[in-house]
Amino acid sequence: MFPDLAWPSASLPAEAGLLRKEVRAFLQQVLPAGYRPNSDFGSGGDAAFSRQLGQQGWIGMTWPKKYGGHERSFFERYVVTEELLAAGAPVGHHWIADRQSGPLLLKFGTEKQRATYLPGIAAGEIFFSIGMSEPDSGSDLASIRSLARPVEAGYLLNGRKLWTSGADHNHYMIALVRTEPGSERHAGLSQVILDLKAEGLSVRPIRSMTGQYHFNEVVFEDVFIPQEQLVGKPGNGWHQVTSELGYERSGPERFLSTFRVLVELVGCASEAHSDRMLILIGRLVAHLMTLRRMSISVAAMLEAGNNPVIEAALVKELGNNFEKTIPELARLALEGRASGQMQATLEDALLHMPSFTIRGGTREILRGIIARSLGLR
Amino acid sequence: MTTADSLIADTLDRILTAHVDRTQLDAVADGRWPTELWNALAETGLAFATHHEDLPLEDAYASLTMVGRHAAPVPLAETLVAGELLRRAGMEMEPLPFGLAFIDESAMPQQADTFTGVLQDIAFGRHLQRLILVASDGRHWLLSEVDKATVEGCINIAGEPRDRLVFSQPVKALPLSGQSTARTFMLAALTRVLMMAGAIESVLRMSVQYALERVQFGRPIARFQAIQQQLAASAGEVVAALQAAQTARLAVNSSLLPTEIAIAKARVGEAAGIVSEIGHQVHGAIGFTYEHMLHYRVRRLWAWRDELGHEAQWQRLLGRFVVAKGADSLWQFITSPEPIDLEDLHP
Ligand SMILES: Cc1cc2nc3c(=O)[nH]c(=O)nc-3n(C[C@H](O)[C@H](O)[C@H](O)COP(=O)(O)OP(=O)(O)OC[C@H]3O[C@@H](n4cnc5c(N)ncnc54)[C@H](O)[C@@H]3O)c2cc1C
Repeated sequence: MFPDLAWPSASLPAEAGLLRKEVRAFLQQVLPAGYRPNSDFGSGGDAAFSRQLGQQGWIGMTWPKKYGGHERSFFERYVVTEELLAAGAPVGHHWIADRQSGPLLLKFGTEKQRATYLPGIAAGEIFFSIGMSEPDSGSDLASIRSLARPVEAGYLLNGRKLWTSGADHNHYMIALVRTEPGSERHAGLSQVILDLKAEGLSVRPIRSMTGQYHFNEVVFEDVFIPQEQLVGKPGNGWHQVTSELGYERSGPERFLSTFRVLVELVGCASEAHSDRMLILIGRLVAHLMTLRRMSISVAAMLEAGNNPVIEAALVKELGNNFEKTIPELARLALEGRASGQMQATLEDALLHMPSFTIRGGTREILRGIIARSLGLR
Repeated sequence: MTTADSLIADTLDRILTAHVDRTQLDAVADGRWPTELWNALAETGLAFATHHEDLPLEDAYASLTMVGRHAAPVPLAETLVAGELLRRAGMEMEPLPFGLAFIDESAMPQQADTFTGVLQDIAFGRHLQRLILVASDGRHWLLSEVDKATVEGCINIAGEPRDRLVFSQPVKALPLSGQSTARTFMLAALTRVLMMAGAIESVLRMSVQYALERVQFGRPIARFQAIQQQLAASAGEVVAALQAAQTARLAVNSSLLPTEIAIAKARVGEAAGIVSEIGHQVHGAIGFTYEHMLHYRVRRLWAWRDELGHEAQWQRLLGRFVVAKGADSLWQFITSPEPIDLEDLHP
């Protein structure tokens, strides 16, 4: 069956407007005035900022109150996240815990795990990493080899994870590992919570082409994992990992990573604008507004309790390409007239851009998922 | 989709599937009027749905997506816009196909109640008896003797009649009260947005279908990753186009219509080019033949994206508004759009 590509149109509810004002007022107060670099959820964190955000009640927003959450809607969470990104706020530290690790624990974690970690995450004090990729396993995630061998009262883990964002400063990692020795592919995989300070676990920061350190190699040498750190059912890891893709791929972080370039470009255009510049800005705004509506439509699907994996892949695929378009076209339209701030934002964006279509699922993998939904494979 | 939407869509789908085929499309390009098709549309009342009070406008215009999907060769778009204009003027609507003509100051009627002059690019002009004349200063007239014009038959790149009508003798021009030229222009642009969205989706469907059927190197070309990747990219464009078109349609009674039309005409027009290109690539040589149905959609997409303001024209208006508001207001505009300024967008 050919999929329905006409998604229902959804808009943010009225109460979101009030929240938006609050977030803007807060950001105005805590962020430096004037120039801000691009907000990339994968880099640029600030623990103090995350804690302040937690105090505002803007982390773990949709979670039950008994776990430190605020029982608000996905739409309200959407408003907060998009305001943070658009403002260039340093969201890097708590982002993954808020978006992925927390919801995962809510869905599959034990009562004890929820009580232990969720309040700290929501307070902006506990940060998580995702441990999926390994040296020989990138897109082909089912080929991972890190092995947690069952032992008395838990597991003994050996292996390594690669490209783990934030492992150098985060507190925990939810890792996908093999818990059945000799198992292959999707079978025998489980998710475990690892303390990044655990004995036998070492973190080696890897410098990226931006010159910064945001991802790491994490090596496990006989790391003991107490049984209670297992998330969900043993052997259910693959299912659990893929059940979160709707959250992971459909949010505004998938098309706002270079938004500050567009802001600076509009600023430059106010001073000296050519028709070419106006046309480019109009084009980018038309794309951005359409993407945002698609993304909000997916938020509505999430709010309704669905798992829109294909839709999320479509948002990410289109969104990542769009993020890459902004700086490429802006630099040409500027005709060499980039000011200090414009130039700085542009360079920052260019340096991060190669990662957009790789992290969180490459363009080719996403297109493969979409192609399958079209019945092509 | 609302229930009304899908009811209309189903009815139309049936009519168009029964009446639109290659023979019909070629006959219309050669100057024939699609009598049966038009009559079927007229009988259901859908052609005059914007004139009835019983159907919301956004549902009435929804039928144009289906027109685009089937590449139906009828002036339904113009007739729907005319229906709304006549309704607003409190005038009756005869059950006939209507045309729309935008004219600038130099061509406006000199006498209060007659028109003499030349009209260009009139969709299905050779077949019309009625037409709404839209002047850049806001005035509108109903011309009821269009068949008195001398017709210079012209077709666009899709073979759709876009005729030149020469009125050398005065014909009756009945003023329509309560109109806005900007709104009429936006409605006309909306019709193209919706038709394009339908045709774009149809091109993707045809391409997917073909990829599953065509065998090369011993397997369906759908099995080749290069083909899968292109069609997946195309699907993204289709979703964006449908979303933008739907948002514009639902804004038909909103003050935000100018903004939504600008976004949609720009975004859908861009998607039209990309999806057409990929569609042809996937079809190989067969898609380049006159025999194949693909070009009936693709050529329409190329025509419609240029009509009533091409991408860059609408992008410029959007860009100009955003730049005038300034960098600090950009995000506010994205999250809470305002009506953009349409002055100087006129054919
Ligand atoms: C900035 C950044 C942060 C990251 N953070 C994390 C993190 O926190 N935790 C984590 O676990 N991982 C993280 N990753 C890793 C990321 O998930 C992987 O990079 C990604 O899954 C791709 O794997 P790879 O780099 O090994 O590329 P590969 O899988 O080797 O792919 C290389 C190229 O081959 C293509 N390719 C591969 N397979 C196919 C196929 N079947 N069909 C067609 N083409 C194919 C890919 O699309 C790509 O173009 C991060 C990556 C980046 C860049």
